[in-house]
Amino acid sequence: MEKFLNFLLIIVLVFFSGCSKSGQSGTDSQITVGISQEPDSLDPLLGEMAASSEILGALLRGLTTRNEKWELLPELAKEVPSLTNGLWEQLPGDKMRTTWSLKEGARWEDGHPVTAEDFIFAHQVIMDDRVPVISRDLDRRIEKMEAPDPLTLVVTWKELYAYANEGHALLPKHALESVYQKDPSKYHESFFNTKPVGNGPYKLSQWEPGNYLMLEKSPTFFGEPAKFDKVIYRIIPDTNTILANLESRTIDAISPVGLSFDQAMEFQKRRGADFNISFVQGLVWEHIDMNHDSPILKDKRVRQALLYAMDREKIVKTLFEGKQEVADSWLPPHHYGHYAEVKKYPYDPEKARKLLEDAGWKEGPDGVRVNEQGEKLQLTIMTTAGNKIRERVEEIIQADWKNVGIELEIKNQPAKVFFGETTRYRKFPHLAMYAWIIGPTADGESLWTIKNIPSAENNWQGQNTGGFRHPEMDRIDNLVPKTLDEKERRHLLIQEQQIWAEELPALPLYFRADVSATRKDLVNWLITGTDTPVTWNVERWYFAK
Amino acid sequence: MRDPKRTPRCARRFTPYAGRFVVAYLLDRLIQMVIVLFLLSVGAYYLLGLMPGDPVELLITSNPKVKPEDIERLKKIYGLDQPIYIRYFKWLKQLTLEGDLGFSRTYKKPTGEILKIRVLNTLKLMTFSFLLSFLIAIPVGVYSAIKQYSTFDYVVNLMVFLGISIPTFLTGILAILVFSVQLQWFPAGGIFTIGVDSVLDQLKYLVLPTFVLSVGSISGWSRYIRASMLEVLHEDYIRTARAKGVPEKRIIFYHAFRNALIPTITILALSIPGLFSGALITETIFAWPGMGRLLYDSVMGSDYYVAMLCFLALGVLTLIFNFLADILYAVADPRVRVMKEGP
Repeated sequence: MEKFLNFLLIIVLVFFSGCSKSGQSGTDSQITVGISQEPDSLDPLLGEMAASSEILGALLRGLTTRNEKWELLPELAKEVPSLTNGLWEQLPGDKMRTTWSLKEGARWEDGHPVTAEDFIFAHQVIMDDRVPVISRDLDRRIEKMEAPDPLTLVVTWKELYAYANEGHALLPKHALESVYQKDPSKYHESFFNTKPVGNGPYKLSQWEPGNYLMLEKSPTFFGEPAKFDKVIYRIIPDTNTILANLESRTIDAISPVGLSFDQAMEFQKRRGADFNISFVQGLVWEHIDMNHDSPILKDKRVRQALLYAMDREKIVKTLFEGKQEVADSWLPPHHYGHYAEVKKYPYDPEKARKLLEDAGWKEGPDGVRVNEQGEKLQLTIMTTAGNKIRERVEEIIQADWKNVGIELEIKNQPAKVFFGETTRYRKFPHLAMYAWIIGPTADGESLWTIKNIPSAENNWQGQNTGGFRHPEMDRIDNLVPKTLDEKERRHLLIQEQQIWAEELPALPLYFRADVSATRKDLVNWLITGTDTPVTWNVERWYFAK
Repeated sequence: MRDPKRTPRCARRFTPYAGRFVVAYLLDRLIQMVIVLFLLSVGAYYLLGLMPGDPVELLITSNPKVKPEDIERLKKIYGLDQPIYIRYFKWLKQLTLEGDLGFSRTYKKPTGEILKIRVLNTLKLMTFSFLLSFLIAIPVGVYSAIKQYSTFDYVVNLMVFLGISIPTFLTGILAILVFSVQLQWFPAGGIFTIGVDSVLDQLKYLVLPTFVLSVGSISGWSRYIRASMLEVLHEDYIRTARAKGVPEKRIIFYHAFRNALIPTITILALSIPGLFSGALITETIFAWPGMGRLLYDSVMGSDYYVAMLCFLALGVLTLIFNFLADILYAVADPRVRVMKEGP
């Protein structure tokens, strides 16, 4: 037996000595990025995951892009249409027209020129009922698209739509038209999912499923030539393992799709001197929806009291060390319509108690408030079970509210049940904590209008989950997306936020931050906090000497 | 009827009665398997359908740009607007009659293609771990049974309990911290170095996950072997053998070990399908693209084609190895052989 163990030991030692330090990555001509997701499809019409859009950011460039300051910049287009430059015209009958000129010399990676036809083709595919494109939000508003010459695209719109400058898709017509024509219902099974043809600074050279994607510099890119010869995306599903890889220098950067906020905070403390860790305010708005059909929550005073009685400063300080900010309304501070002077609800238990008294909730014998009918002020909060941060927030709120005589019961559910049943069918009795993504062009139309209250009549569709009804706010929210002038829109959104902050359809908590970590010497890695992926300027990344 | 007189002598041993019995037995098992598989597929499909949160409808909760009409359209394309039993029979027909494994909705690839890569990866990892566990657990178990209550036995006992009670996610992270981040001996996850095509390189990536996976199975198996070995060593026939003066080595390896192996076969045979199902946690920690994660992700994403194919493949393997275990019993233990005499 001893002999056998000795033998094993020798084998192990021999093996170990054969393994020198494992391969270090990041020579100057390439960068390796760790990402926790694998892209599903690299067809821009079909990919649903954040990882897909991050890879596509390096492979495919559209008419416009947004930078890290959320500014809209032309990319394939020479100029962004606006009412002032005349490229955006209002037509009689509440229609409109936008005209785009494409940059000369833009080419697909196979050398074919990028033309207006590529946009028209993509629109045709999107509007085909046999192709499972997820959202047609933009395209369904388009009446027709025309190409008077190869580099001019004229879009006529059925209706006034404020966000017409973003989101036109394009596909290489020369490469895909035959596939599509052959059988449109099989389009989504085409080669393009895994072997896309792009026009960006990089092209896909290898994709080892579950392992990595290798991007190579594309010689045909119309913009500034890329600095790295290769960009490698390594897929590492466990976020602790990604960090270990960065620490052992087998990767050079961690994508925003790859690190949790907690880990980034911990990493900052431990290795902040050796790595760059970025926290950028994002679009994800954490909030608590209130069921406005509940007799308790119908009363505005109760809703306000709930917010006054909640120490949100303490929440962001203890849980996030202040790196995620308290939200005063539902629009993030980077949003063009954000109103800084909106009514705020600092922690004020006295004010909360008074509001509750006014609303008829008197102190009860056991510390829980009761109304005239003797009913206790008991509320139930629900959220996604297993989400540690949300569970901590619930505990803090529970303690804060107990302090003013509100009893809070916590009833969490697995995410699938919570989103699939509870919020969708409005089955939460009082409160539901979750998040919405508020995009750079978000308006309140889908979240706060009456027509978007999910109900049996509208087949449970819509995102006004709390069931908030306010005629004036409804009018404004329906008007915003039809108002073409950004200044006017901003004005409307300010009015909307004033009503919102007074009425409190939901309790705003905080905006989540996007996080990422990189080697100290990586330059121009700018995460945006929006759905614009970090690869929006991949061609400008490099390691400082 | 054949004339017994004209039957050659050697053929008589395999009488037509016994042959008929074997065929009937095999047929019986085969029919059983088909029924079990059918029930498994119905059950799995129905349970997948019962999960709350239709995958397409869930899109609306994450993407504000998705409108009700998009949901209707997508459901129609994916056939999700039909009742579950119709969808089941369509799937069954597609699989059995047309041999079409389907196109994965979430991976955007043909299901067979996805499964092929994953099965190979998992098989690689699990075979190494299986062999390592096997090679360590058997000698350790046998030796600690022979030397019961020795220092070796106590040390092994302690290690075994540590191995069983420390969860994989902890050993995994610890292994990465020590061997990848600190010592930098092995890579922290992945299956090979990009651009390097050598066996040694791939082996380097195998070391940590194999080790982490094996800790649990070595512990469990060696306990099991030790227990069954101890039981056998106390049997009367071992005492008889000793009394007869049979050499100790022969007692242990010929008389005891062979008998102790019988219950062990069950465990080993039933853990073989596990070689294909993979290990979710280890695979996730070490970025190993295997079946464990595929199964988990496809169920969570309600990807029917992928999830059902995984279930069926695992079902078939479990049944086959169960069957093989039954046969192996017969090899190891003559008492188990079922003999039915002809009339």
